[in-house]
Order: sequence, then C-alpha cells, then structure tokens
Amino acid sequence: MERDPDVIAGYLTDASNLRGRAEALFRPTTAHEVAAILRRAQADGVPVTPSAARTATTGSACPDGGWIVSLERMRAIVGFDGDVVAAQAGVGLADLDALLEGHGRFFPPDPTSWRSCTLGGAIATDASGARSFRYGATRRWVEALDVVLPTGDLIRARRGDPIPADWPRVQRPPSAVKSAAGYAAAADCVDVFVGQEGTLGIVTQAWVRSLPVVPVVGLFVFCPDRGVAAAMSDAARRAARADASGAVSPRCIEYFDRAALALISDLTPRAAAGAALFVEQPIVRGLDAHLGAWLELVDAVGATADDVWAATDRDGLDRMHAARHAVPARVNERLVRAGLPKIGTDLAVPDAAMSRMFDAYEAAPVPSVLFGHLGDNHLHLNLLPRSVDEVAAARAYHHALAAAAIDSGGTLSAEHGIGRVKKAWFEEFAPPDLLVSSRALKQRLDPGWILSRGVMFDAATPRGAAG
Amino acid sequence: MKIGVCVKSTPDTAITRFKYTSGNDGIDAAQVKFTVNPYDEFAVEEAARMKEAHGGEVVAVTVGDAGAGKVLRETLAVGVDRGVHVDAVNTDSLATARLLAAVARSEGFGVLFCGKVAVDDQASAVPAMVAELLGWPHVSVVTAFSTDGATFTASRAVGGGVEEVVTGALPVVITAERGLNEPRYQKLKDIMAAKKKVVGVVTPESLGVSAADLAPVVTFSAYADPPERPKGRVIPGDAAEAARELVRLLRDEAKVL
Ligand SMILES: Cc1cc2nc3c(=O)[nH]c(=O)nc-3n(C[C@H](O)[C@H](O)[C@H](O)COP(=O)(O)OP(=O)(O)OC[C@H]3O[C@@H](n4cnc5c(N)ncnc54)[C@H](O)[C@@H]3O)c2cc1C
Repeated sequence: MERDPDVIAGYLTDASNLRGRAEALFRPTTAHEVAAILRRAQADGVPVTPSAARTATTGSACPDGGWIVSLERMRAIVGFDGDVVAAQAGVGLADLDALLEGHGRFFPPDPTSWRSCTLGGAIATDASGARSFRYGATRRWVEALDVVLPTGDLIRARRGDPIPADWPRVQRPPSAVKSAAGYAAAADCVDVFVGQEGTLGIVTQAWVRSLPVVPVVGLFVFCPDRGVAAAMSDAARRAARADASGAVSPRCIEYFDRAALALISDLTPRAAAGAALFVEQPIVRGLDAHLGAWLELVDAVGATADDVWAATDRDGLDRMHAARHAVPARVNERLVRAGLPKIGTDLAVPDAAMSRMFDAYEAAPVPSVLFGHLGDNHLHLNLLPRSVDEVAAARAYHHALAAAAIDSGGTLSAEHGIGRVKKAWFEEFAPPDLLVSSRALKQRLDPGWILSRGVMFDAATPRGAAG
Repeated sequence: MKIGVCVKSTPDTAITRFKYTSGNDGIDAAQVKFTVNPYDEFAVEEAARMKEAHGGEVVAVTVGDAGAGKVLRETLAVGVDRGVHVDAVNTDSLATARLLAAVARSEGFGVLFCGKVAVDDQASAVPAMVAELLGWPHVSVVTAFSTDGATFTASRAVGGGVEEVVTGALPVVITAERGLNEPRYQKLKDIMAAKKKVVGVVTPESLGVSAADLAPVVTFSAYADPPERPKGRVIPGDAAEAARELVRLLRDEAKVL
C-alpha cells in the first residue's frame, strides 16, 4: 500500500479535465492480490478505482476518494497459440501488437490512443477506432476474461458461459449504431465485463483473438465539399456491406472538414479543400483491381482523380496516419494555448439521420473542427470556444446535438463511454429500463458500491426510478 | 535532355527483420520486403523537378532481379517517364557501376542522379565509380541543385555547418542527401497512368558488358550480428542508497564522472 501523496498525485487525473482524490494506491502483481484488496475494501466500505494508463477522456479513471488499484505491474503476455493471446490486463496495446506483428498478425481494435492505453482499459471501455468500421469494437475480439468481482471473488468467464441466473439482466433495446454508453445487453458472461468502465469487476487477465496482417492501400480523397465526400462514403459503405472482400471494401472511412484540413495542410498534398475522406482498402484482389474500382467511384461522385493521394507502402501510410492523428492533437494544442476547455462530441446516429446531423454539426455557433469515423456515422465535432460566453454556448449546443442524436436512434457515446463527465446526460437520455436494470446488476455484484463509485451512474436516481 | 536516375531495391528497414542465408554469406531475400532505397527517392524527385523546369525525359535505371524491376515500377508514379531494368546480379559495386555506366552512355543522359548511399550495404561506392567510368564529374551528398541546361550549381554540407558550392558543366553525376527536396505525394491518377509506362529489360550482353567485366573484385565472406548489448543493471535499495551506489559506479566503473 502506497500512501505518499506525491506518488498518489500521479494517479488522480485522466484525459478528462477532472482531478480526483485518493488515500492509498495499490500496485498488485497477481489476481489474488487484487482479490485481497477488494475483499478488504468491501468489508470496510472503501471506494476503489481501477486505474490503467488513464487515457480515459470521461473521468472514469479519476478516483473519488478511497483506494486506487493500478494495473501497471500486471503487464505480462502469458501465452499465444497463433491466434488467441493471453495477457494480463495492464499490458499495453502497443506491446500486444509488437508481439503479434512478429507473427504476421494484429489486434483489430485500434483506438487512437493505442500507443499508450492498456488491454484492460480497452476492454473496460469497449474501445474502438477507425478500423472498427470493419472489425467492430473490442468486445468482438474478447474470448475469455479473469475478473475479480467487487466482493473479491475470482471468476473466469469464457465466451458462451451463461450469465449466473441470479444476476439481473440489463434491459436495453438493440442499438442501430456502435455504442459505448452504458452496460451491454449481455449475451454471455464475457459480455457483462466489456464496457463496464471498471464498475462491475477488475479484469486481471484476458484472452483476445487476432487477425493475420493484410496489406492495405491508403487513399486520401480531397473533395470539393461535404456532399461529395458523403456521397462517396455512402457508396463505399454500401459496397463494403454487400461484399466485404470486393474491389471497394474499405476497412475505415474517415472524414475531415475544411477546418480539419486547414489544421494539417503541412502534412498533406493539398493546402485547402472543402472536405476529404481517408480510407484504408485491404488488398485482397490485386492492387490494380482496387485502384481501378476506387477511381471509378471517385469519378462517379464528382471528385477528381488528381485530388487523390495514394499510399501503397508503409512510408506513405505512415504519412497518412500522421496527418489523421495530427487533427485532434492540434485541436488540443490550440485550446491549451487559449486556456479554454475542449467540447467534443462522441455521438453516432443511424445511416438515415447522418445528413441531418451533418447539417447540425456545420451550424455550430462557435468555431469548430469536424472529423472522424464517417463509416460509422460517428464524427467528432470539436467546438473551439474563444471566450467564457462561448464555452456556455458550446455546451448548450452539445446538449442539443446529443438530444437530436438520441432522438434519431443514436448514442450519446460511440466510443469513449460515460464515466463521470457524461453521467448526468446518461441519466437524462437513457431509457428508464436500462438505468433500473443496470443499477440492479451493480447492486447485485457490488453490494457496497465500492468499485468506481459515481462512474456511469450514482446509486440513487433523481427520478427515483431505481425504486 | 534525358535525365537519368539510379534506383536500388533495398529492404524496407521499417518492417524487415533480417535473417541470413544458411551459409551466412548473404541476407535471405525471401524474408524481406523490398522497396526503393530512401535516398534514391530524393534523386527521383530532383530528376522529376528538373524535367518540370526544363523539359526532357526522366529515365530510372536499376540493376537486379525481377523483384528489383517491380520496385523500379514504383518510381513511375512519382515523376519517372520510363524504366530500364538491367537483369543481372549485383555481384559487387564495380560490376553494378559498369552496367549503370553502360546504360548512361547508351541513353545519353545529361545528368545522372543517385542516392548518396544505399541503406543495405552502406557502401556509397557505385555513383563515384559510374562517374569515373564515364569520365564525368561527380558531386556527392548534395542538398541543393540547379542547372541552366548546360552548367550546374550544387551545394553540399561539408560538416561544421559549412556549405560548399560546386559549379561545373554537364554531364554530371549527383548524389542526393536528405533535405535536397521533399519527395512528392503519390497520386492515384499517377499510379494509374504509371501502368501505361514502360520498363525495358536489358541484359549485360545487350549493353556490351561481358561476363569478364562483371567478375567480382570483392567477395563477401560472412555476415554476423553485432555483439549483444550487455544487460542493463538494476540497483536495488532505497532511493538515497541507490543514488549513492549509482554515483560510485559512474565514477569508479564507468569513469564518466
Ligand atoms: C488521445 C486520445 C485518443 C483516444 N482515442 C480513442 C479512440 O479512438 N477510441 C476509444 O474508444 N477511446 C479513445 N480514447 C479513450 C481511451 O484511450 C480509451 O478509453 C482506452 O481504452 C482507455 O485505456 P486505459 O488503459 O488508458 O484505461 P484508463 O483510462 O486507465 O481506464 C479507463 C476505464 O477503464 C477502467 N479500467 C482500466 N483497467 C481496468 C481493468 N483491468 N479492469 C477493470 N476496469 C479497468 C478504469 O477504471 C476506467 O473506468 C482516447 C484517449 C486519448 C487520450
């Protein structure tokens, strides 16, 4: 147990603007140590927050008093059978990929933070990334989990293992979009512990599947305006859904608006354009077949072939990824310099609602940058207020956007989760059944509400819906 | 004017883990992904810019097997008009230089751009040999180049921040240093257009280079990994104690303090 406030100070923040507090820090090395800590905490009623790389953007890794359990010393890769990797939860996604790369394989989920975040963090938040358009979020790749329940019991959950009969079932309608908002309507025992944001158990070890590396060609298509980019994205998505190994079958479709492109004009061949798409096309039919088909698509939607930057080798792809990743990084730099908070959306909507969402994003009342996962109808609108008044206007606008997204069947959070910063909105927008059943499950697994207390939802609801 | 550029197919060091051939006398090519030697990309770009400024034709030349010919094709999408693939084994630098010089002579290049070094053997030998065989001047590690079609000016960084400016008459062999230019982005349109461009395959015989000319003067006897780095040392104990021990080791053993 570490009680030195100077050491603990390094564990009080994540990538949100929150700063937490804690009395003690544990850095266990085995599941049994984790179990012992939780048993004691449950007995004494001490809140516990699991903490990994603290890249969460929602405050979910910020402790609110009590103890921190850091997974930093549990980063061993314990097995690899050619497909499934078994690793302790604190292993970095980058370390996982380094191992897999040596065997010509990769871990499909690719949160932008993959260089720094951990496997356990990705599982706890059901992280996703650009390639999730093709491969889905982390959930799909998890085969089994070792979990220490809040009571200190250690369980091993395998795919297909039934959920114990006395665990309340989470009630929620099936989602038409990628979503990381709240507990899943779990199909088996593994599902329960993916996307739970550290509130239902501490994952100590995971077994995850991998895929063989496929060569890809990267295309960065500069478009005259949003309409052309959206038409191209729609057509590519239709083609990919119809035939996942067709000539046009991208594994990601990323969007950039004019402001986003202006931020990275030194990293791309075009100084300015109305909009752009970045796609990665796996080469499954010979490069020429893919390039020819994309060229036809480019012509058909009214873009021009001369405005398509193409990367056929590692160097070129690295340059494209650098440009893609520079957008959020440069947004953040600008805001830090201005000393103002970033207000960023993580909303996703069904196909039919995307065009209206685009209109709403583009009508933002303060300067903004719009980019992200258009293939999943999941764009990040970054509002860049220039004054305190504009901060308030931006927050209000974000709330209105969230309401519109939910209204159309979308989600409050497609990838980052709820954490502490979005729990009031979650409470406001989530179906009452979901909140009631989620609280019931939490109560059953964590009778003392010790684990990540105040993350996702609080014990009592303002509406009194928990009864 | 015909502008020549030499291109070598070298292992993509970003993704390649080297394995030696069973006899330890070479790299096992089957395990390696090959790509354009990074310094040759600056040479290609400079050739393309020279053509854009003065007109002419950019011809890229490589010596190697069919794989090298394929790598050469990559340059056709970034400013090269035509390729010449000399189908021969790179036995040693001099043999390669003889073949490249023969192509330069038969094509009648006005300038020949090369990379300053190939990242596989790190020899930096071929361009100077080509120049010598042709009787042309040779300027190495060039960071700026200009020409009026008859004469040229080239700058080279000679160390200590000093820049040396060399002028002379064409033809000339130039080797490109990083910073000479920023290679262009590859466009989809250019990749498609490149498919219609031609890479001519020639043999040493057709260039008038005999087997005797190609007999290696250097033999490669063995490759070996560098010795493994000694393991790092962890100094145990509490911070103050460990710091004292660290200072002692730095002073008495490493002798850096
Ligand atoms: C620059 C940047 C880019 C990002 N991009 C993406 C993106 O593209 N997609 C995306 O989905 N997210 C993204 N994120 C958010 C974040 O990186 C992910 O949520 C990530 O998966 C969190 O991993 P972590 O190891 O940092 O976990 P932490 O931040 O330490 O923890 C996150 C949550 O998981 C819990 N937790 C951590 N480990 C365990 C465990 N072993 N058992 C139980 N609970 C645990 C914590 O209590 C907390 O609730 C980004 C963040 C940043 C800063």
